[in-house]
Amino acid sequence: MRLTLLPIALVLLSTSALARPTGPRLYCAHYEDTPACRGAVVSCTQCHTAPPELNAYGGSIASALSGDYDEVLPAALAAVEGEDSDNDGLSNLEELVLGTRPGDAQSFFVAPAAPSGPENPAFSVGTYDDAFAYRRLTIAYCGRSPTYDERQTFAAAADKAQARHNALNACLDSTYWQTEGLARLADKRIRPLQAINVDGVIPLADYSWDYRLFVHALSDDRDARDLLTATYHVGPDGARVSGVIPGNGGDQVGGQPSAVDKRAGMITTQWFLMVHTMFSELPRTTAAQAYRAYLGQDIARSEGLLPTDGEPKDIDNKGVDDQDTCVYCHSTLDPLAYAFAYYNGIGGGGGNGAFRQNRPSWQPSAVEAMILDVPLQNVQTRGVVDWAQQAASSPLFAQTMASMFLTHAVGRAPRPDELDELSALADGFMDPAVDNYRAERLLHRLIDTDAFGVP
Amino acid sequence: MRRLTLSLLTFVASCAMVTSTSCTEPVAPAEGEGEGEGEGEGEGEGEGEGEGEGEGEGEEPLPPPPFAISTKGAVAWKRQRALESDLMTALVLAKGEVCNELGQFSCIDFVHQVPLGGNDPFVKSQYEPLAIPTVTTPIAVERVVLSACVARVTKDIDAAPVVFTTLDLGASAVSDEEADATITALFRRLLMRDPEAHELAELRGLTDDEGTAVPPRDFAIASCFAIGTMVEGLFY
Repeated sequence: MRLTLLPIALVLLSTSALARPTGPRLYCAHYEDTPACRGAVVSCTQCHTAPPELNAYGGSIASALSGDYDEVLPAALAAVEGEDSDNDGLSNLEELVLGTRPGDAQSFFVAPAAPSGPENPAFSVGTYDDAFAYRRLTIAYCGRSPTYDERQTFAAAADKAQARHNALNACLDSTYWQTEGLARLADKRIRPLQAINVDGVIPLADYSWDYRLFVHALSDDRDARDLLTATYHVGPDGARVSGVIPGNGGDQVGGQPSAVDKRAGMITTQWFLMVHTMFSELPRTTAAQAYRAYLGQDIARSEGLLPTDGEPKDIDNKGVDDQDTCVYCHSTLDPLAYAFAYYNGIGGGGGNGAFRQNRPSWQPSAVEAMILDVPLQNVQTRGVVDWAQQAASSPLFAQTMASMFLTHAVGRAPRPDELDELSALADGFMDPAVDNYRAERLLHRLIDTDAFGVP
Repeated sequence: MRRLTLSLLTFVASCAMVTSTSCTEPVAPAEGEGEGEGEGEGEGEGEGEGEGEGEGEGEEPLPPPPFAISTKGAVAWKRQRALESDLMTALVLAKGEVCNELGQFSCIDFVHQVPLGGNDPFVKSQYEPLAIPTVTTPIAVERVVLSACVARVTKDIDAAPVVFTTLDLGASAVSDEEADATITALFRRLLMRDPEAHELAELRGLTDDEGTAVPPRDFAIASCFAIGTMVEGLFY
């Protein structure tokens, strides 16, 4: 009898936990082609100031709701499209299409008028300007301005587009791009700290491995998905090396402890696991950083929330199962983190960052690891390998790469009138017939965009 | 014209980078003169007595330019590495010669790294650079450019000149011909273009100080600094 009752009790528990923030999924099912959902999971801040508090747009929707939330939300969304909830002069629907926030009066966009007047003698304002783009790409990817002679040569080139792409090729091979330009894009993803680097005051790992892999995967004609799926490392000489790499100090410090079948690019290096997991049994920070760095979803900003029913289980007794507060993030974060629990942070058998099948104190069957609504099997033997593969093949990864490069190239976040070009960059990045995940191919398309080349 | 155009194009950026002679407010060219450039100061209503100068009551709105300007108004900030690299190339200086505080701490990589648009992830845990220039950015830019200019002029005095080849740095005055040649060379080196007539005329004024001829060394430094800190060279 007791065996019979247990499954029933679990079902009841699961049902009671359905009071979840299902809003993001429903929202994007309704508005899948809007910028907030294109290659992204809409942030809770679209409707909330901080969940569960509503912003003006969320308040409008709430007032239009009557009945079961999941059933009536689409109708409520449609009902308030014509309103201007935040009184910024744009209707809610106009803001959704533009990609601005309909609940934030400070978030709006009015497309600039076309330039008017006699021809500008120095710039092709309002249309693609070859010379402007040439200078911009040289500074962005060569780390210097074109010289006077180079500008003269470019001005005389019969095929300006070809000249631009030739210049880009040269820049992408330059010492600047290979050693500094790309590395600066890695900083917030690797989050180095010299004091605990292998040559620091308290040596715990070596982030040089991370920088080398980042640059390697995004240069030449390599597959950028290796950022998440590489089973190899890159040695100081630039060559790939595989397998366990011994460290010099205790806890294998400075080496790479993961075997090939437990490797997953940037998110299983000794540095990444050490600096984010540290002593956590359930490495929520590690998972959140991987989600933020490579899928562009910052859970701390209520982004990328895809709650799992029955979560959070608070498997490590940290008190994260409060239904009024913690549930909004931890119902996504905890399932995201389970796969990382099989890797050491600091210390543990095998050294910093080593895979250990018996590391978690809970039974593997007690939890279900998830990413992007996909359940992960056998994480106790495969670690985060499947997590990384799901991540690398998702549109979120492509969107993150495209956004990273476009933001770097123009020196600011893409504006609403540039989001279509951003989406096209991301789509082409995934397309085997276009970029096939090659970063340098994406950059060649990027410098042809209006966002880059129209002054 | 080009400087004026870019100043208009970079309205927001230039507002953040207003610095001395190098970042003047753009003004439209006077009719018939073709191109204009100036300090853009509004006319003041003097209230001072004796030698005091009057305070302006606000600037007159700028007249619209005589040609189409960018309505997009979005340019990128040329950050510390490109600034350094461009100065090294333009003035033929080694990395360690561009600018060092107290003669030993790199302005680019250490002392002024952040206001110049760089970041130090390793020691300061600053994982992203500033999004836009800060209030101290113009000061840092001027510090670096002035240092580089002084370094080049000093080297050209001490040995066979490399950049200021058309100036007699040991003479007591600068001729108009020498000034024009020097300004042209500096425009090509620092802004990668030729100067326009009004720019030559304006910078030629650096050859004297209220009617007194300045030494070629001072002219070399001042013209290098003025051209090297122009807005069009700092944003792209």
